[in-house]
Amino acid sequence: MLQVEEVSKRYKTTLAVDRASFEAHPGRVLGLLGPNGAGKSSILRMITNIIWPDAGEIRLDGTRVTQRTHTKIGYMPEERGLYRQMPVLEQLVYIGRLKGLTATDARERARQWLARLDAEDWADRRPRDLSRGMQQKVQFALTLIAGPRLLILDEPFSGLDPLNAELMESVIAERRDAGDIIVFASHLMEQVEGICDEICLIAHGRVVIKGELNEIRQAHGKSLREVFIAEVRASETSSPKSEHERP
Amino acid sequence: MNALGIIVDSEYIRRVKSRTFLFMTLLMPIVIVAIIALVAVIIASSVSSERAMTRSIAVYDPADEVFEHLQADAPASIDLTPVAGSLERLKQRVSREEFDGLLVIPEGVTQGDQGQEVYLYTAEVQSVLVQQVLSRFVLDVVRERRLEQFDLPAEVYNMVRSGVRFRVMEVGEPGEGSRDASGRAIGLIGYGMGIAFGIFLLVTVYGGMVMQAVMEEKSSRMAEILVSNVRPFDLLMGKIIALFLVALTQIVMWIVLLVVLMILAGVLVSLFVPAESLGEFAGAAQALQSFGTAESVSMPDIRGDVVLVTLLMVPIGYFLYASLFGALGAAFENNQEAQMVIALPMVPLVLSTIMLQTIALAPNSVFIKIGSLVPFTAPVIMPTRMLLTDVSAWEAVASVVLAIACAVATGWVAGRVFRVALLRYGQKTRIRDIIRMGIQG
Repeated sequence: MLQVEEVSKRYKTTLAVDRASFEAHPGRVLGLLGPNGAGKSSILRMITNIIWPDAGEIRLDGTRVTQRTHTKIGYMPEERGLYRQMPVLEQLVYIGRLKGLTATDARERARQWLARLDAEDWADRRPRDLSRGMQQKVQFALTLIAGPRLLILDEPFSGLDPLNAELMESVIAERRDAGDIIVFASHLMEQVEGICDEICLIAHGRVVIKGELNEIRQAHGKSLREVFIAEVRASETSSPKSEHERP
Repeated sequence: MNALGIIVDSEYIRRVKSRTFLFMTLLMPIVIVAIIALVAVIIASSVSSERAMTRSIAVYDPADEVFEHLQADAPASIDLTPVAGSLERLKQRVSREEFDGLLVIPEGVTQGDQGQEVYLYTAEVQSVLVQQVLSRFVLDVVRERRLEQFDLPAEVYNMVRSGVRFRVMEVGEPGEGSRDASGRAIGLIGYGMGIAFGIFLLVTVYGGMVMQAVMEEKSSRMAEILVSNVRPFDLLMGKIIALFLVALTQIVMWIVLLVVLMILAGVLVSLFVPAESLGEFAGAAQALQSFGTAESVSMPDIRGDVVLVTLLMVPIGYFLYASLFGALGAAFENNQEAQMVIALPMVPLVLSTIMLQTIALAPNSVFIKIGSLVPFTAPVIMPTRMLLTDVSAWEAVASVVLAIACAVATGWVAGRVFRVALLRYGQKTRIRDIIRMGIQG
């Protein structure tokens, strides 16, 4: 289980995350929602140990998240990153090795994931020669290479055509059914409703709503989109602006 | 293998397998050999054509003191004609290119009066070779004419004519003989320049590659993936170490290829160039050497402690500067943005090479002593200073220890800047931001 407990993060005078707490459970998909600048990326970066919280604690299966837990986390950031000149297979092997796999294992798994994502022919191609959607699939393979316990996907479907989006969705469902913990960050409410079991809505760095998706919808008697808009607006009135605005 | 090892391994393999690496490794020695060969051919053919060309020189010798002797001793390429009349008119004839030059011999030149000057008027600047040939033989003739007046015995005459060689000898340890040290100073400066060039090459080419590699990871957004898996410090150090190994590989390959190419070039020259043409190369080399200040340049004997300090200082110097370049690479997203501050780390390196020029004159001056202790200039200054003068052991040790300490501190600060700056996008980075990142992390 992923536990985010009372986590805060401040950049200079800006409070990006304010005592955020939520949990993500094995075999379930948690949708992390929020408007731009709400603090989602900061939370995801703290979970992946890229930045450290000023206060609070993040635990994965009871162990505090540190540099050592990186082998258990697969992170697909919103801004896709691939070496433009390095062949796809080589990139997958490199990241696989950094995640603790041997070169042979990493190569084998890279080929398996490329095959699973209908991308086996791209092994020797360079990302600069691939379309955005193709790069997206390579990035997804990169996230899955080491068989992570926790999968963090930030806007994973952006730039994908419906066929490939469906393929990726099916892989996410497989991982969920295999008992992985999945955190899914997105602005697209339809996708969140289609994939997520639970949601956590962040606004101005604070968790404003969290829980089972169906229960939230029933409790509010509204669609997720309507709940999102209402809660974000409500948080704007209750939040001191200067504390949360990004410079 | 730990993360640092994997980064070094991956970066190294990726670089040495790249087409650019292979291309540069193979091309550079060929280019160097080609340039050397081209320069040799150009010089040889120029010297040869200069020698083959006959220059007509008018000689204005109003007292008729030396013309006869000049004509008797003139080289084949100099055609001398006696002239008389107004000097101004004679100069005009030179302007009209009736002669290549007008040699004006002052009256009483053979009397040895002080301050007499022989002039050569030309319409265009004559080549250094022609000037040298003319001045040598004119002065020889004048000197002999002066000596002849005294009716000296042959042995006295020959004694005065024979030159005196000036040689510098280095006194060895008791029991050892003295060694010829003429030209050693130039050899030592050459060694120092070699180290400076080596560090310059390492820093500018491979340090620059560290910066490019970091910038590439930042601009391709790969950085976020990487720092979620490894410590930013490991990432930076991995690149610095890998590129140092790439540099060593490339330099070793260049040396091997250069030696092979030189041997090959020697064989080809001996096979295809006629022996008499080779004389032109030798003549050209001799002509060039005669312009130098030293009679010969000899390779200096390099002591073990100097070699040790050099071997330590080269990687330390590279590490110091490459850390700075890595931090700068993380602070900027592209070359245009980085250009403003990229010159800053180069300042101490440029200063080192400027100091190097004065080190032969005063290796123990305060300026040079400080330079050999300051970590950013010490990698260039200290090994050269140790060659030229006796440097106390504590100074050498202090220099190396300070440089290591500074390199570690720079690496640590660079790591802090790297960690903060690597994920900073869309914001203009100023020098004070970089300093703040280094201090606050």
